[in-house]
Amino acid sequence: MTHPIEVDINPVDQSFTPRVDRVTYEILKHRLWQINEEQATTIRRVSGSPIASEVQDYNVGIATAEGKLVACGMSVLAHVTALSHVIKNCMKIIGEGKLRDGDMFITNDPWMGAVHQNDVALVAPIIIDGALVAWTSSVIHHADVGGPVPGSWNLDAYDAFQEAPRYRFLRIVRDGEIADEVMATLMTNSRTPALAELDLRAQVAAAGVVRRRMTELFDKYGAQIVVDVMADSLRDSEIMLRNRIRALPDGVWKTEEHVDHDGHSDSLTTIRLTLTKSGDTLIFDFTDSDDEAAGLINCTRPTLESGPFSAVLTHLCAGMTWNEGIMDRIRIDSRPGSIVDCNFPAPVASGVINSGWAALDASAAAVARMMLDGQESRKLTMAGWAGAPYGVNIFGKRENGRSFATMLGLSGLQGGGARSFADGYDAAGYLHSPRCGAMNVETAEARFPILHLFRRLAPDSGGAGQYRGGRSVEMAITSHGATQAEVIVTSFGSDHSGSPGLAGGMPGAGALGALVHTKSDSTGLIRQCADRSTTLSAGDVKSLPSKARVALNSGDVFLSVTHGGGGFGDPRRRSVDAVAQDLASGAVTGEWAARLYNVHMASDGTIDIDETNRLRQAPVQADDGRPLTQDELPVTLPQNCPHCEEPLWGQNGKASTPLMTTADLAAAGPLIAARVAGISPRFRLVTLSCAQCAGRIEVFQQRIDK
Amino acid sequence: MANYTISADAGGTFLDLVLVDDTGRIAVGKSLHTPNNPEVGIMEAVGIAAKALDLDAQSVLDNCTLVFHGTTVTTNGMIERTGVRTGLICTKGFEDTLRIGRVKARTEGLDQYQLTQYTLNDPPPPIVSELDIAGVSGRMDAQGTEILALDMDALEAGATRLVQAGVEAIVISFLHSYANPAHEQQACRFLRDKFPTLHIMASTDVASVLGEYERTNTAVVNANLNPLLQKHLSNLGHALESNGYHGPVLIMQSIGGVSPMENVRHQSVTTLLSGPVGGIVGAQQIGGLIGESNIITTDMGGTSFDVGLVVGGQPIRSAQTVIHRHILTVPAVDIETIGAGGGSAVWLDDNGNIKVGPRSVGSNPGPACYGLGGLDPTVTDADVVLGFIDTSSFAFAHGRASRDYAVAAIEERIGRPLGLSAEEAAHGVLQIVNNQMADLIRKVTIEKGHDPGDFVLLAYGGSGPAHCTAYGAEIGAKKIVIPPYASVFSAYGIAQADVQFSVTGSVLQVIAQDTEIPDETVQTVNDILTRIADQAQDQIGDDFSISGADPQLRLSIDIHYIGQMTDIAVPVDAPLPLDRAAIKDLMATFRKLYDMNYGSGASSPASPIELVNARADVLIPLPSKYQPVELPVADRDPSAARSGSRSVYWGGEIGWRETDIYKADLMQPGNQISGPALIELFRTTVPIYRNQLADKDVFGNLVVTAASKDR
Repeated sequence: MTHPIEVDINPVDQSFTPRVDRVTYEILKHRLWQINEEQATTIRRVSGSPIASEVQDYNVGIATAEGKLVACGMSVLAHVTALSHVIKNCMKIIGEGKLRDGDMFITNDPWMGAVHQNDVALVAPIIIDGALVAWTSSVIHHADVGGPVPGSWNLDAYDAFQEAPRYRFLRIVRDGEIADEVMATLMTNSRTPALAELDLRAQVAAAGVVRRRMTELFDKYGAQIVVDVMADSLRDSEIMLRNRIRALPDGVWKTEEHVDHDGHSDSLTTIRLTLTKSGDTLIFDFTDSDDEAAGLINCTRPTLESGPFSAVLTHLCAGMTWNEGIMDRIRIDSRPGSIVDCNFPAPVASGVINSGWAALDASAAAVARMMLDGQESRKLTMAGWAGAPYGVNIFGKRENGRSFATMLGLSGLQGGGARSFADGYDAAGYLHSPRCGAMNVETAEARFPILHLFRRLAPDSGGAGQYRGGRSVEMAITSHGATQAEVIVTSFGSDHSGSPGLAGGMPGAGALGALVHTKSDSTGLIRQCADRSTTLSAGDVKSLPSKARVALNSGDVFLSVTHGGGGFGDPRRRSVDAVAQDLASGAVTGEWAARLYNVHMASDGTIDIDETNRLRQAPVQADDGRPLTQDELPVTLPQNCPHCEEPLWGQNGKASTPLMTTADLAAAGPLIAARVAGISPRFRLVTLSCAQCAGRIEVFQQRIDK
Repeated sequence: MANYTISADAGGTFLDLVLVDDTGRIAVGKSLHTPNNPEVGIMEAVGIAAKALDLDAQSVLDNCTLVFHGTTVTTNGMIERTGVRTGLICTKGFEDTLRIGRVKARTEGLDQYQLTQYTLNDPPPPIVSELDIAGVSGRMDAQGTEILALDMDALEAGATRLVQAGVEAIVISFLHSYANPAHEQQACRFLRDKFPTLHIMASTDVASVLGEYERTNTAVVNANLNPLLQKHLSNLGHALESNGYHGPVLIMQSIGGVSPMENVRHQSVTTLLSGPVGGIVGAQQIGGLIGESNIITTDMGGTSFDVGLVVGGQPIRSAQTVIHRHILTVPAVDIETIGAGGGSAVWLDDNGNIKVGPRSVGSNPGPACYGLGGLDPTVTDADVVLGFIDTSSFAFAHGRASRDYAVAAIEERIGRPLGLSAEEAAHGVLQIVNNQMADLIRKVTIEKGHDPGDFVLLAYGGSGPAHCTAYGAEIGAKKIVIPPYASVFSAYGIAQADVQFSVTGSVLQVIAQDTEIPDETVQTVNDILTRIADQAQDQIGDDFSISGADPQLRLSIDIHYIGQMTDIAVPVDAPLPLDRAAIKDLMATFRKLYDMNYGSGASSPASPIELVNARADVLIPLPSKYQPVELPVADRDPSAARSGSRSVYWGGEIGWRETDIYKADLMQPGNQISGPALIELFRTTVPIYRNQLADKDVFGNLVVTAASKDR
């Protein structure tokens, strides 16, 4: 399915003039944003779930009558494009004529726009004098929406009927009154009914706030002016992006990302992207991606759209008003039946954090490579962020017999991609959530029968580079006060890293999950396990694939490491001072400082600068002399070497193709494919270096199992 | 001879001082703030104020009964990172808690546009270096049960390493210490014994609440700044003593009450809003004078716009605040801020949209109109272009100030690109910034269930008077009040505060709404309330020498539905011990307040309720409140206060108009001025718009109302 857009909607209109005067425009735009912020605040306050209030897995938006989001919240961006689809589908299913003022509708159906069944969307039309003028909308990740498995991620599902029930636009509020039968239905279908109730009440209260404020606004300024400002605000952002895109070079950039394990088997599915930039349009073509999978990792088209949307916002829209107007500059092509545009009723419960997330990774990598080719844009590029989610649902029975279930929300505890001028952020949150959060250890332990043995930044988790990727987190938990507990993990990147490096930087840490069986009690575990290595030697280690459901019995420890950020630039160009600082802080260990950064440690533990310089200038030994072509590479290289600026593919017959060396992934750090000690049977590490200056141009992980 | 009280508010540049006597006389002194040698600045300001009352500084100090003080020493120390090198001892395995910062610490305090700048959002520089952290094994669980004893050898080794590295303060913060502080106390005792000169603090001594990130960060900020505050207070104490003052020195705390300086020495984190809170306490007192208990306070300075709220005579407080991008879990008067002040830069984005702030031009070069070479137009320049502010009011500091510079900057950067005249552009800029300020006021009022129409809006700060009649009208405040000491209002307010001691304790009791409350729960709630009440009262030590009214104890419990992160403070009015019915009443009050906050029907009759934290406040009302002499009421004719006229651009159908100017200090109560008009105050101007009326009340406040209202 493709959404063709007119490449030249209005080619002369490159400047922006609102229909109302600029002062009224600016005042109302600010007011709309403030009203939407109030909606977000209400959700954070009223929801009783740490998923919304602490982890911030929710979002809010105010849309035009047609369902385009004018004001979007700064939480999970994946929900923005999704909410737009939800509103449009609501009009289709309910019928525009049957919408009444004071109605609110809920859906969690991925074929209606929800990104997965846990994400319950609420939309409410705003009707003034009988005319539909706007919509308000919100979505919260609910802890449990029923289905066969606590937490609602059924790893064993072969279709959506084996997942949580889906609802299509139940009228949860009718004429301003909560429909108790709808509330009761949602509550009885949840294993966490009290959380479900407070989440739904939060969404109803938030939509009520927006309805009241918008009505006041329409009364004060008149419907036409407000409607005009909403439409102009979309155009404002679109034109600003259009001018930024124009300033980038035209071209084509290929990237790919992979999802391992589909819930049933340790399969490997690849999302392939070709980004084409031509004039003022970006075309993200995913049609070459693999077919849909047997298990829950598929996503529907609305989720796919959030990938390019989030990548463009975070890379190209700094300082702008973020709204759906930018989608008018983006075309997304996909193939129905593929992993990123699955058919009904493929299983999708975890799609947004698998194929959807991978589509975002690929989109961000492609946009970053495009930016690297622009003289100005290359100054503000970023390597891969937070390569994969780390979804952990934990559930079971407390000692008092009551059941418990929650998502731990570790996805924010990942490293940010290194920047073209500085290291990446530690524990940065994920790319598509400007306001990401994570729970306090004390909150998690006070609410759920678990005990953390440690939660700390993981050494060697930031991708190596002239600028290092941000560090991720390693943590371990055991059950404490539960008679029975189970863990369901949903991640990807156990055999590679989803956080690619950029401009010669290395990938950051991949995901690692393990269950360690011991005979110790809580006291013994706390005493023995203070970090990753002491835990891995505390008992029998069972490495977990990217999807797993395991019992957490007494004495068992669940260990996880999340993705680090990708590195930027050739690691051998990292300043010796910065490496020394990394060693002192523990960000990089001595062994890996030597292997990744080519520093030589003197016997007194300091860095021997002369020997380091000698090591760093060693010539590249290419694997073979065969000339490379761009076509055989899965990732597009820049036109020129980022270090010496020489053309890479030769010009006027002057051949200077990059030199290729290959290695196991272990060469990029100890936390990539860590469950197989870095010897991944499905990937190899490919390094391309400049034939002129020997500087590293690109380091990527190539799939080799096909 | 009268008795005097002195209130000194030390800001970044100036020291504002207010001197009052017990006969209702008041005088103001302003001097350059000399933080390293406070004697100089304070004595100068005392001298200026004393002279205004025909006194000399010595006789004032000799007859002074109380000195109030608001300080920016801690705030500046936080911004400039001049606190002492601070180490952290924490639970082993959790050494990176501050660095991880619940992920959100990196972006906390950033505005909408800053959040979109992904490549530029570095976290604030850490207060504790990664190298100055030592993990020690030992563990409590969430119930406060010891799982592993504290490793005293590791504690000693870790602390020794930090001390040898050169830390001057150590914070001890262990997981679940709010539930059981035994390990923290054990470690404190040991380290104080071993390193008697080192500054050592436990996290629970600063904030005994659940949430290790916020608690540790709060304790770290506190320990980092304590030595700065101690040094400042001892300098100040000596300066006053050597000039003859031997009475108590009361320090303004963020909570809205003052505390003797001996009591805040180790609680610097409670003084971070010392100055701004003074304004809100002043508003409370003025509200009492004029019979208004609901007040919106607005303080517009050079770089920011701060809004606070007094409801039912009490300032609204919150349990957590974000100060300079740091989340701190100390209760404080709630102050919301945006980067919109007189010095906020005005600019056009790529699409020609007019933007105000958050960047500020600072004081040098400052607004273009100062004539110091600044080319960026600012909000103040817009005020000058329109004629609201006369550049001669800057002449005391900026001799070259001229309207021409403001016109040129606005024309060049805003007017010409948009095809507008300088005055049209300036008018637009003011409408935008005034509406943004109104949006912030809405956030503080409407979003919390309050109707601004039930509130009086009080305006102070350097730029507040020039804008309040616009944003006050926009939000529909019932009247706008500009107090006579608007430019030194924090200093004025600090002297109106009462002594307050506060203690917080974790309760963490879950109650099912539909079943009987268990005996253990009733017992636990009473135990905690009794304990914190005793602790708060214990702060009134034997050496407490301040004469005030009898101490009042106020108890409250923060309640939420289980899992929620935002609490509602529910007052405990029933006497201790509480019985089941009293706890049921608390729950009913909670649901009532909840519906008020989030809309009718938002509360759940079934969801379990959690009692989170309890607070005890001991208040000692002070007799020092300023009681102004009421001025006689004159007739409505204001012409005696008229000082001239100038041309002002009012926009819309009025456009330019020669506008009368009145001097506030020449106005008599009862004089009535209809807009459009200008009223000049000390170094600022209040524009009275066409549909507004201004008069002066018997206490000297300028009061502006909508003309259509029945008076």
